[in-house]
Amino acid sequence: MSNVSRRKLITTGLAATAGVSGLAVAPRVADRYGLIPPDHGGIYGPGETLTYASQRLLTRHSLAREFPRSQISTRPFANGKPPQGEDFKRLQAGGFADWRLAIDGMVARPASLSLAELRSYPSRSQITHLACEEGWSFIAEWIGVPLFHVLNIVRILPQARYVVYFSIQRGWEDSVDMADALHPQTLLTYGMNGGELPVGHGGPLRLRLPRQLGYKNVKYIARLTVTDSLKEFSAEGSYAWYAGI
Amino acid sequence: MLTDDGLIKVLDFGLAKLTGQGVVTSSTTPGPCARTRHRPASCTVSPACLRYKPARVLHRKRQLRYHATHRRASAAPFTGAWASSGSVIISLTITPRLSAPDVHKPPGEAEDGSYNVLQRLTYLFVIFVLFPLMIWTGLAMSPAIASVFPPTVTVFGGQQSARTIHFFGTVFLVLFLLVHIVMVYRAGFRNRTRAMITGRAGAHKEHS
Repeated sequence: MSNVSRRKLITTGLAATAGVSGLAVAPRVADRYGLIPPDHGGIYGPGETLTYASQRLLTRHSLAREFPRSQISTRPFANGKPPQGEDFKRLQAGGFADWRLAIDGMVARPASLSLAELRSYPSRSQITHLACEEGWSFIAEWIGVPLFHVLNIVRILPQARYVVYFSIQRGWEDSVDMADALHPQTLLTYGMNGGELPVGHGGPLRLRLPRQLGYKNVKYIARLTVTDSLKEFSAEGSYAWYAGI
Repeated sequence: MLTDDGLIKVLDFGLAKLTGQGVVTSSTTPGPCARTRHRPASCTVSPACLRYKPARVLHRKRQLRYHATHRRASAAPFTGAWASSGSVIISLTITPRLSAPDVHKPPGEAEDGSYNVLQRLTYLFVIFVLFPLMIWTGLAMSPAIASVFPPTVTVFGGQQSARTIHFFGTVFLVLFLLVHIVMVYRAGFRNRTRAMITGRAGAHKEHS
């Protein structure tokens, strides 16, 4: 009797120690491999973390489906209104010739690029599906420069973990991790369906992430910040930070 | 095709099953058929058995309550209106079970494996068809998952088709839940909830 209980005590003790130390080590390991999303706190934190970790393990290098030209939607839905600010109207009147994309943060060479400069970089065109969490979706051809190309030009520092992108509309910003920022299909888009990117669809510059929902594809991009922490940046309302869903 | 009357009976047969059992299990004055472990085959369709008024086998003080819960379920099943309606097939297979077997089985055994074909089919459908379909269509709405396993979307013809299926599935599951809440409520909410949590029926306390 006493033997059994001693054995039980030892086994239970060892199991408990292993369990507790496992629980203590797991977050560090997960964080080291970039499996913890910035919105890991709060009520939905565990769910967000589980989703993000599984997606990062499964989908880090996967490519969004690209469609044949015949599948392009004839009437793509342009959600929302163009920016109403004076600065945007002035830039629009000038044909966006003075539009600038500022890049700062953890980069070796901060830059301010014009649309002409962006167009001079190698472009990529892809016909992908844009799905909004509201339910609507469409397929369009998107033309732009891959974000990784621009990030290579400004040379991101090794400790960089996120790219924050800002719309010219105040308070409208979002961010992605480096896996999505360096993904070959992540485009700074300036063209759509063979022409200029219409203002309704985010012209002159929109970030396209075909592997994430519509709200991560912020329009009117005017600034990029490379950072290792999102503490000082606001998240997109109550939506999930990772929108590959 | 179901008439309104038929639909009510279909909904009611599950309710009646639940409501009937709790009351009957504590009955101590069985009728002539009540001790039959395996009810005779003829019992399901025999008019003699159907005419057999359940209330008679019940304890006197339970009569009113039994009538109240079974007023629709035990209403004369084979009337002209029923026979001429589209629900005649359902009434043939279900109505006898409404009034007959719950009463004829001995106390305590009424709940043993007592799910009928319709109930089993519904649960099989929900667990093995609807839930996997909901998970699949849910994954099909994820652009990232679709990028790794394109067939999750392509088998449905596209993300919007998957979304439509997902939404109708949601509606069905919500209705499924609501119907069960109504059933539990009608069968005695506290007792049934206690039974779900503790595993004890406590049939004699069916007063909620």
